Amino acid sequence: MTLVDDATPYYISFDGRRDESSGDAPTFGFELNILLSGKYEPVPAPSGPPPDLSGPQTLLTANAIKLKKRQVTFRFRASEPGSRFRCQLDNRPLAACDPPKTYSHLGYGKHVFRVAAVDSAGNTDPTAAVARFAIPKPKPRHRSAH
Amino acid sequence: MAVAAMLSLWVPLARAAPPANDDFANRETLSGPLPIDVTRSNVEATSESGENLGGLAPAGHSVWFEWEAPSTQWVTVGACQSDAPALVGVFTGNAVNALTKVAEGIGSEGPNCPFAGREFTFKAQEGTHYEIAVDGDAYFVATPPPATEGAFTLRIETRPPPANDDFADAQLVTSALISDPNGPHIYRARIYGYNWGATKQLGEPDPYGVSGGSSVWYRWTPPMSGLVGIDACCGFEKLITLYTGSVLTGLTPVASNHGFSHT
Repeated sequence: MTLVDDATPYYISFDGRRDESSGDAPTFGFELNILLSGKYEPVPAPSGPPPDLSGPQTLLTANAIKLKKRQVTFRFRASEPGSRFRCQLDNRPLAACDPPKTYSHLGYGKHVFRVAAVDSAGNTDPTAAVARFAIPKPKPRHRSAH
Repeated sequence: MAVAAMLSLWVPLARAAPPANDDFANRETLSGPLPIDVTRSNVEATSESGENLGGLAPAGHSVWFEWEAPSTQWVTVGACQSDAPALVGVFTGNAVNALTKVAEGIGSEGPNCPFAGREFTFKAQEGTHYEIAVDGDAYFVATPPPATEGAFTLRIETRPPPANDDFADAQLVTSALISDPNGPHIYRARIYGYNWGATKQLGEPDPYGVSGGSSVWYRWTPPMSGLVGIDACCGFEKLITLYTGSVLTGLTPVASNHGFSHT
């Protein structure tokens, strides 16, 4: 057994040992076997900061309702710069959104707004920020009899 | 009808006639450009007094051929394709009891047959008549033993010099991981080759003072550092050497099976 180094090119010759009296070298058909054994060396961890596996926090910072227009506007931000957001109103599908997010012509009644930040590593805030609000029906006007 | 049927059971089975080339004196001449392929049979063939095909176990059902080498060249003679396990013998000589074996034993077996004795490679000399015997192989201990008679194809073909005869044409060898990837790593490479017709180049080293003369070359880069063992089956007087370096005249032997350090 012989110690060899990785990435070093080696050459192997197969020959017949020359007979001193005849001068001939014998010839063969053969099966050449190379068996290399080494100790287990685990693959080193990549250098640099550990991967980001945690999601950002989403903060609702302000909201404003204009009842006459049945319109609501939300302002929000994330704990990690560079995050994107996904918003959902009531049972509508989640959709990408940017602050401020405004919904108009809302129906009367109760509504739920959810927003979750997604950081640049693709981690989503597991606890989306939630705002509950209502657009009340306007009260009917009473005319006085003259 | 019943009587007639019973009588027919006593009629001896017809036996095939022995092949025309059963005896050495009636050997079949083979000629023409190589490769030569002839399909024949040794059914009902017999052995002759004084016939000696070699040290293996001929079954005694030999047939004979003769071939004259048209030029000096390396050839492989074999009967690898056969109904029953076959033995091949290649000789020179004019009498069945005075033949000289040309090729025999481990190391002259051809590259195509998985079993010993069915194929031989040798350097045929121009104008020499080679006497070729094909027999059944009785070297079996299985019960019942396999048949030793049947059809076979005798083939004579040229064996070109190895493509990796010269250092510059070293054959690239790759190793495959054969162990559990999570455990100690073991890589293996297995290459079939031959040095029939190989030559020694000018400037080729004699590792540890041992001379060869028919070298073939391989180039191998270990996939990891470790301990390597190199061996080749089969044959004695083989010379295997591991080198570092990049030019033929500047090689440094690292290990050899005939040197101070053994592969």
